[in-house]
Amino acid sequence: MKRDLVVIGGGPAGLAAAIEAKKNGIDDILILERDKRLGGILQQCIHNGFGLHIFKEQLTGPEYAQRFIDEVEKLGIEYKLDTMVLHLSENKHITALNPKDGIIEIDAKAVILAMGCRERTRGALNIPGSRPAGVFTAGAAQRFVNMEGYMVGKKVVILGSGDIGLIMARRMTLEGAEVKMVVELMPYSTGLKRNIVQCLEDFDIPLLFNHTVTRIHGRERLEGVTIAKVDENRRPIEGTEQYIECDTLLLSVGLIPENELSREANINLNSVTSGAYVNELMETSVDGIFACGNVVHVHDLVDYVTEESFLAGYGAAKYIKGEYIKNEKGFFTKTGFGIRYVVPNRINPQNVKDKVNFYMRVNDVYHNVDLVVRDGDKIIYKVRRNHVSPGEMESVKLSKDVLREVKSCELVFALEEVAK
Amino acid sequence: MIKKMTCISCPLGCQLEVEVGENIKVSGNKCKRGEEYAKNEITNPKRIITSTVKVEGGDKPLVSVKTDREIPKDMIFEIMKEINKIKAVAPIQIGDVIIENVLGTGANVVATAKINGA
Amino acid sequence: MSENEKREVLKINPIYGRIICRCEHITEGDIVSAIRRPLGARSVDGVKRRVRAGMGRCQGGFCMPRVVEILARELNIPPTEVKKSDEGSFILTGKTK
Repeated sequence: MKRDLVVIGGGPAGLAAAIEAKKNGIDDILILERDKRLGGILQQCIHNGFGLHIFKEQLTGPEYAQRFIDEVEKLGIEYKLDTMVLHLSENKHITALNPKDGIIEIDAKAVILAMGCRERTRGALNIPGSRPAGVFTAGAAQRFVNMEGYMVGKKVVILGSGDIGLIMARRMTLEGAEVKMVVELMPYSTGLKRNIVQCLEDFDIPLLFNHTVTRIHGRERLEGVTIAKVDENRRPIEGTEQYIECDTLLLSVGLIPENELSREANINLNSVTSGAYVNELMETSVDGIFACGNVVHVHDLVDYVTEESFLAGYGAAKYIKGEYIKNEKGFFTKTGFGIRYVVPNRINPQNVKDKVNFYMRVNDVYHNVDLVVRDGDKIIYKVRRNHVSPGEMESVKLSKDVLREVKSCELVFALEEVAK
Repeated sequence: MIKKMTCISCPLGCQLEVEVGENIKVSGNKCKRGEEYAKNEITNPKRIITSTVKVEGGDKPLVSVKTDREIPKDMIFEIMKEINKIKAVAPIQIGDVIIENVLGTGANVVATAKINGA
Repeated sequence: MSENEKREVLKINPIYGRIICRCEHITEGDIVSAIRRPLGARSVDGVKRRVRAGMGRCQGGFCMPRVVEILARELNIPPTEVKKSDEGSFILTGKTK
């Protein structure tokens, strides 16, 4: 079949992108979702704290998702559930599979990638020892507890202080488990500060920085883990080992964008974010293929995913309607001191609606710095930050008028020491 | 006495300094909620609880729920017991009251997801 | 199976159209047949060894809960009795409610 726009993924990113494309005049849209319902991972994030930015109120994950699902239904946007995209080609040919239609072949005018991300696993960490039951990624445990209603263990150690791990520490505690500790390799948390307060401190769960799990014990079910302190090179220090009895180890050691389809379509990926390089309208390096949300870079707030996805939907609509200006005008974004990455990567101000939100992460914890954007020698934006951390995404808004005035071919985002 | 705390009212996580004396003075907050949060933390800390409730006759085994306002922090586990006792009957809409005025706190436990009949 | 063979099987049994392990593209049909065949899989690792479900990038992060669900249904046991591998390697410790 032929479609104007196919959105791969029916989570927060895909839903917002489809809605915005529809509002910008595209009627022939199809969302392909691999799960049995729309909403993505938000459906298992039953805690609150979503939506303050977009809706000015605190919502739980399912409530946030439902607002977009209702909108998709109201606008009459078509979607297929239980549908997995198997292949995507550079010329926007999609092969998908579901139990009802079998194999589906689609030629799309434009595609929006919104597949989200996956969790890093024990394999990525290389913890030695046996492979007993009782080792879960935090997200898999969250699905069991919140969606299926099963407990994954009684005595829990959590490796990694990512947000899902922190949220699961509280969730497991509320459901009667004993969460013994959260162990973090780095000297800082990769999760939000508020989650450390309301998920750990509220329940007196210790958080050990500069520590890691060095061994897994138990043959059938997990019986315990060995933890140890690490040095500045993140290597375990001999003699600091401690045995902790537990039947469950949850891994919350980071998320990686799911870009297998992007690779197949020959989209250029950024090795820092593991997501696609994108431009001012969230278009990837392949003509007519757009991307948004956690498939581009891992966000800590869904509100930012929504903002970014509205832009991708707007961009795809412009592309389909032939209103998208393609020329070599514009500039690249580049990272300077202290900044690990910035998205988007290329800006042609001619296509910018009114502003661009630049999202970035710092590479370490810094205090009292200026976040500065430079066009050559000229500072075009500067903001004082008392505290920045790799766990908390920074954003900078620049208006179309400001972007039009950029003279050099690179806009540099960097941290600078505050001039005394 | 000056207490340091992180405001949890939103993901910004403002670092607050709270002067505890006859009057409570709050600084470091970027909005009004920070002041309210700090005062509550000193006098009567409160939290929203989110959990799940068992569903009868639905297309899913559980429905997610929350308290529709903050409840005293020291009542979290007692309220969890109430949440674990009850069963909700499908169909359920977002906002449906599952437990009214739970343990006299003035907060209702409400559904946060939509559940269809089986 | 080739794409053409898949098309044929799908006409007979639609569960070959439901991908459970997204990394390795393993369908519910593949998993059910691994359980039902002689000397079939009786555990999550048994399924993994026979059809590679959970062997991919995510190491079962996404599909393990669904493999547990399918094993419970096919073996007619509660999910709490589904094992990772040998006797004693239970995955779930009870119901939350």
